Amino acid sequence: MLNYYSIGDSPNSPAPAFTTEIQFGDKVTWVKSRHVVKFGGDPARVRINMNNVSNTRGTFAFQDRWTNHPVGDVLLGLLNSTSRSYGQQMTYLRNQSVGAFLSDYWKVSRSLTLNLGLRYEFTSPAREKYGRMANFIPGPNLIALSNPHNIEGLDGLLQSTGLAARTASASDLGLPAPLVRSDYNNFAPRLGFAWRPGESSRLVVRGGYGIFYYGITLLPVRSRLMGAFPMVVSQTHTASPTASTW
Amino acid sequence: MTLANPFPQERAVIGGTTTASGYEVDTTTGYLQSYNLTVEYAVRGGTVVETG
Repeated sequence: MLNYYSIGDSPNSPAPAFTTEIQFGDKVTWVKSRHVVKFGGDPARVRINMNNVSNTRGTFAFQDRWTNHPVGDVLLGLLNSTSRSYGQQMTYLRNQSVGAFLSDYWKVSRSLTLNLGLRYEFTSPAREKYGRMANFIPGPNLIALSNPHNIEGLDGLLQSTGLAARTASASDLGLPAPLVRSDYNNFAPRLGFAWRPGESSRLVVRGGYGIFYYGITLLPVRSRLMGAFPMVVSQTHTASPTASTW
Repeated sequence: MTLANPFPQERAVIGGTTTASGYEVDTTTGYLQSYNLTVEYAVRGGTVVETG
């Protein structure tokens, strides 16, 4: 309501999400002479089944358009404008990752210990179980669709919006199903040391360096590639400027 | 437009068709680099001073 606080619940709720993460990890330790060698891995799978709830309940805007007072318009149920989103309700995000590492705790001498390691990380781009994803590709200026056959009412929607010639399937554009290519070269070296200068019993210097990958943030992928046109359609409705068209 | 018919089809304007929504196709995984250096010195009486 114009000049009043909003009333009613959020148009973006409720937003139930069902997340399942399956993770497995194992590690082997091998001690030989001055070395303690460890290696292992930890694959994981993530599933996020979540509603697309961006304005699905709709937003109703009242102004002072018809009665010269917003409360008057509310009482008479006369709207100034509305908006809503509709289309694909549930998204089924899937993602896999794997990490593997090798490290050597090496007692070089009585005064120097090194900790050398290398970790490899791979996180697959998030995909939608049924391929209901779209991504704008700037080069050819096209909207890439992961699996157009699974988008309900796609042909009619593209015709009505004049975008039929602006879309292409992922396979036609040489893109994988998630519409984002995988990043395979995530090697993370780790180095640490502990040193007692001159075999001092009082002074110890320690240091370390490492690279740490933090994977792909899943929810922006979900909102941009799974919760956008043409899977989700946003509509606005504005009242006619004349009262006769209530 | 009334509450009885808040979404009349004849007044509907579809949005999101003239703006681009997307994600970098050749995205790289984000990472951080961490460095640390500490010096530890044992002074008298079982007291250790550490700086880093």
